[in-house]
Amino acid sequence: MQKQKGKIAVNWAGFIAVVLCIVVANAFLALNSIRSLTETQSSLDNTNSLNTAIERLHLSVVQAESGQRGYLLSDREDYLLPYNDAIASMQAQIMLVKSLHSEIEGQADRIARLIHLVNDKVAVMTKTTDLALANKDVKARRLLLTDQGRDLYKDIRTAVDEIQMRELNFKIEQFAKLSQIKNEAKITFAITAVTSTLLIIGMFVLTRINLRNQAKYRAELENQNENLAAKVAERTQELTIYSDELSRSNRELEDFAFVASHDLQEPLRKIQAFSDRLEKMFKDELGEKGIDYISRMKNAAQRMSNLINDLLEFSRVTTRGKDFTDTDLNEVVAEVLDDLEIAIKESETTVNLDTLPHIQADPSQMLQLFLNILSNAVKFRRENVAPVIDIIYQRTSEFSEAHNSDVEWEVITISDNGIGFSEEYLEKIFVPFQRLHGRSQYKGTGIGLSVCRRIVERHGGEITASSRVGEGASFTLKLPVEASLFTLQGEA
Amino acid sequence: MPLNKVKPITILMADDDEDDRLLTQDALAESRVLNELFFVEDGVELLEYLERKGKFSEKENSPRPGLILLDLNMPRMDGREALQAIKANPNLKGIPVVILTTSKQEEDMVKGYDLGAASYITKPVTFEGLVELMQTLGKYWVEFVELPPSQND
Repeated sequence: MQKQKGKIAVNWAGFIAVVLCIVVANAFLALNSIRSLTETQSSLDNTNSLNTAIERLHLSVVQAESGQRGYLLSDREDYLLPYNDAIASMQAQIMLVKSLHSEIEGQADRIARLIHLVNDKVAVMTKTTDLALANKDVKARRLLLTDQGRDLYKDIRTAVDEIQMRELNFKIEQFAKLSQIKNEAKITFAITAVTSTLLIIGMFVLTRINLRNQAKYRAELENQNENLAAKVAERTQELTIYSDELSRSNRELEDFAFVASHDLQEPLRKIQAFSDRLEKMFKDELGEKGIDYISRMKNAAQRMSNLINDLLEFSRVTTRGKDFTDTDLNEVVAEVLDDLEIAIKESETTVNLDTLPHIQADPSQMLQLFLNILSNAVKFRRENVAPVIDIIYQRTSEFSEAHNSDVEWEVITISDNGIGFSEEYLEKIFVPFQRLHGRSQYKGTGIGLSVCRRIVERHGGEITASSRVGEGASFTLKLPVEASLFTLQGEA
Repeated sequence: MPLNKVKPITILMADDDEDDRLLTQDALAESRVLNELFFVEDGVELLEYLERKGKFSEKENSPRPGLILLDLNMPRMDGREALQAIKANPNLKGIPVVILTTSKQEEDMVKGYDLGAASYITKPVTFEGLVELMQTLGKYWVEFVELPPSQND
């Protein structure tokens, strides 16, 4: 993707460079044509001016000569009028010719020579005229007859012809050049037109390619998005299947525990019943030892029955849990204290009780929870120390990453001043059938706290403990104010 | 507990568990209730007995019971189906049926009473408990309860 983008950027840069080159080249060609045209035009103007100037000079020479000749022939001074005019304008014309530069090689020398010749001619004519005016006609005429003047004129004529001829050739050349430039301009124009057209087509094509690429990328992107969505859906599907599978196997396991413990009761009942019969009917035959064995057998059967009952109770926390309703924990604790009345009286237990909240819970399970914890507090008391149980309640708020917001908790701490336990057993006490004391010391299967943990977890909370040997134990129940945030009500 | 005035009724027990049948018989003997106790092993046999079919066609083998003790979980036809069949039969529906089972499940209890059971009793765990139950049952259903005269006998 990145690579493709790079390729496009290069394409665009190249394209812009080509466009710039073409524009510059076109401008250069156009300027060149215009300059050539201007140059040729000025050359033509120049050669025309030069020609005219030369022609005029030539005419002036002719005019001066004819005026001089008329005077010399007629001796009439009015013939000298054109001669004088010609002589007078001649210097200005020479200046004009000098000021004009021919572009033809060697032409400047020829012009210089012409001017020289003209000057000579003027000198001869002036001399002749001056002699004539001084009545030295004869000498003047002789001067005339020496053909010096005529030769000079001939030379002038030749020079003028040559100059004019060359200028004419130059002019023709220039015209040829002009038409060539015109042709070239046509070609330039054609090239410009063609390149412009090509540029437009190129732009169009590039834009098309660009649009098509964009569409292609968009399609690719959409395709990728679709793939992604499909993958997400697939994963979600897998997760759903997995989660269904998990809850199914969980349910099966709980059903299994329930059914197994239920069916285990049946043969156990038989063992107990038949050992009863043995004990009753064959007391004398059995003897003291036999009776002792049977009594041990009955004890073991009773213990197993208790274990099975507790296991049933443990599995019932989730399999037979009821829906949550508004539960007043004050009522719950009052009922528990009522149930424990005799034990509390006998042990002279003091219970300090905060006002407790109402929560969304399964009331019978809350009853079981508090019964287990409070009966433990009474049961595991120190010898000769009257139990004191404190039930402290407070509401806390904690940030929950899973919900990305603050979540409120009802925190209830139940502490006693009993025998406590070493904190190395913190995890062990919540595991089913884990006991920290011998059976003869304290009765019970060791299921109570694991049932407590199961109940609290079913309500989306957690139970923690802290204790020191000989100083008492403290259990903290943390239950969410909004149980629906943490539980799947209706799955139980 | 002398039972001189009243003619002892026949008790019919439907239970697939041989041990339970034995224990019930022992308990009945111990309780000194002088009732005849007959046994069937499942629902199908129970109905055959009551309708005097098959091996129960002889009247001596199958006197009409004054009380049926019914276990719920039995092979072939369980206690629920058998109870339903008995209560559907106008000839039999007058016989009181006491459910005696190991199940403590609430739905079994509710279903049992729904189907017309006279009582629902969970099997006692100890033999003493069973003896006491048989005594009480005998006393209650034999001495105190008055049943309509049976149509068959």
